[in-house]
Amino acid sequence: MSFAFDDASPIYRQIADRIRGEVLSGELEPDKPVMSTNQYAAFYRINPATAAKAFQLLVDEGVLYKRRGLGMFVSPDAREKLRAERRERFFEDVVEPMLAEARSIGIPVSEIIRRIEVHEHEEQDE
Amino acid sequence: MTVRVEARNLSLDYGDVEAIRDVSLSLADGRIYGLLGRNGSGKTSLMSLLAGFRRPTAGEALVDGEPVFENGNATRKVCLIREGADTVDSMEKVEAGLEFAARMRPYWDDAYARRLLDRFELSARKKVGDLSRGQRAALAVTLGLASRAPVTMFDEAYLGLDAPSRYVFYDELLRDFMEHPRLVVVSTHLIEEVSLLFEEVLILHEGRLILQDEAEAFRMRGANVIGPRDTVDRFVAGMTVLERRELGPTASAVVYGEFDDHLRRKAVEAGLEVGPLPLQDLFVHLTSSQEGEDDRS
Amino acid sequence: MTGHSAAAGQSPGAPSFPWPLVKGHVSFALLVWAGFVAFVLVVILAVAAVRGIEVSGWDRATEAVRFYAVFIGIHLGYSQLPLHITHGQTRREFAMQAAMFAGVFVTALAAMVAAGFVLERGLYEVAGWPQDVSDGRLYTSPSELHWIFVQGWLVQGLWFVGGALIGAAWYRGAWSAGIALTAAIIVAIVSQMFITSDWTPFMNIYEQAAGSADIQPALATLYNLVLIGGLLAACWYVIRDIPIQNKAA
Repeated sequence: MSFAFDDASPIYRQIADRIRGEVLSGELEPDKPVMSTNQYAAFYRINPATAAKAFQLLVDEGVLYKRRGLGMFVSPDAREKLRAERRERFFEDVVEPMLAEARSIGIPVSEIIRRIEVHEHEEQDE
Repeated sequence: MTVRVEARNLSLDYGDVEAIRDVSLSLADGRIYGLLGRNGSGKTSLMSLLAGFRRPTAGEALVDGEPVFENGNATRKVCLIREGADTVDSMEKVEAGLEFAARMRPYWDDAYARRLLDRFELSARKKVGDLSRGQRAALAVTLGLASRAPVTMFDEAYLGLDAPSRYVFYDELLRDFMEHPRLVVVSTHLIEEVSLLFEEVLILHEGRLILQDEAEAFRMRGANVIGPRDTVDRFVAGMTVLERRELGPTASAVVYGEFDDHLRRKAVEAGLEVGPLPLQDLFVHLTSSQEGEDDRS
Repeated sequence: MTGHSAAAGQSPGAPSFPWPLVKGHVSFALLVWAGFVAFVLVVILAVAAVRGIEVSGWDRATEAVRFYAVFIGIHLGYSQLPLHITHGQTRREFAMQAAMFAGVFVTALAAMVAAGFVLERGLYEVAGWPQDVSDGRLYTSPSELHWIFVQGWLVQGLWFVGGALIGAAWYRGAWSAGIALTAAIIVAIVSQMFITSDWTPFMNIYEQAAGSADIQPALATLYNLVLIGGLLAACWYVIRDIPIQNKAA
């Protein structure tokens, strides 16, 4: 049944992650309405309280805001906020683990840097 | 008006078999509860007590603060659907079963019952006695959903449905619950498929209520720790270990308790792998380890 | 967030007069009665073709009505009882409704028995046959319709309630079914003793109890009402806390 979820973290967090992702990618636009908790619950076949918890989390984070009687909307600055957060966590979440992996299998840091520079040149050439 | 279901030190004996032992619980309106337990753990007995189908040997089963047994005010708010499907005589038609329910159930929605029959592709003109197991189950869940009873309980009734029909049941249960919030209890021993529908889970084991918890919290309570034997043992010391297995120098331990991010990080730093534990596995460990303890005592 | 409201208007499930049971069973019994009357008349005519008619055929045939009554009683106790409780009624409410239904149903059966005699009389008068009834009845002639009705009511009532007792006890389990069956048979024998003078095996006991071997309709009525009352009490004893089992139907 849990076609959409894994067991590693609470379902509401996985739903929140997915909505954050949609905001980041621009699928969910600022000041546009988000599907209701009930629609999410029906779509994922989950308890509506779980979906509501995800929404509450995002409201607390300022990604969504509530309009009385109208439902949830994407905050105007949500995308920018999420991007800033991701940038902050990028080194911790992506670079550090990569370096740890490189160390354990014996790839020197200098080689990684060289590879990155090659990529940068290619991008500039295009 | 909201509805509330409680049990206070509830017990039920069948002769000298203790089916339910000193169960106390409180269930609130507008929630879907999962009642989990192995076969013979007392799920049906507990629900039968809450529905007034049986008189408690000791303790109380209450709906809105009133004892349920032989109390029409309480029993009319409750609908317990069992696998046997209490409909009408097997000689009668499905139609007669719906008419009987319409007459007896104060919150019945007849139009909804007929929409459900359509969804399950079940004809009201069929004789109840001629229905297959799956069709009987479809009729049973139809009677339960359309009862709109403030307290609606499904005792594994839906397990007789084939997979596509089970998903119709899940969808309808969710949709109708959202449109007409009420207190729903779903009992099952096959957890994976339905666990996401629950807001709270209750686990019965050998007649005792061993756990009542939010489903989301419960889901995160178990973890599987794998790594070098000594490191694993040092790490899990003081935790509730449900199962421990060894493979050469490697050991894995299933631990139960608050496993927060901090603990998770500590494990990773110690060089251990922490895997999630599916709800079904957690349930299996909880209900089999207890049995072991009982055997020893 | 949640609000529960019953369907507007009446309140389904609340105890009231059991019209559906009455309608269903009385109308079906009428059909059976019509068929039975026709069947009995055909048998009488067939016999008349072979030899002379000396007694009322309907008088003999209605001995069988009690088996119909006991069957419906068993159905009520074994099937209808759990069905009503699983649909939210209490045992007490069902018992009240079942008793009301029994009263109406048994009255209808007794009236049908009496009406059969009237219909038969038409045929017998045309044919010039004597419509004699057996000894050992509360009535001595087919014109005593009131006693025919009373006896029909008592016998059918006793067998109906006995059936309900057996049905409910059977639902409870094999042991209680055995006890109920034994008790019901004993009660039926005692009841018959007060009604049938030629019912020999227990006549000595009857003579001692009634003071004479003659049938005394008023006394028989009284004793049978007491027996029915006893069966009703036994029924309530069986169903007052009857557990609803989870059997796959």
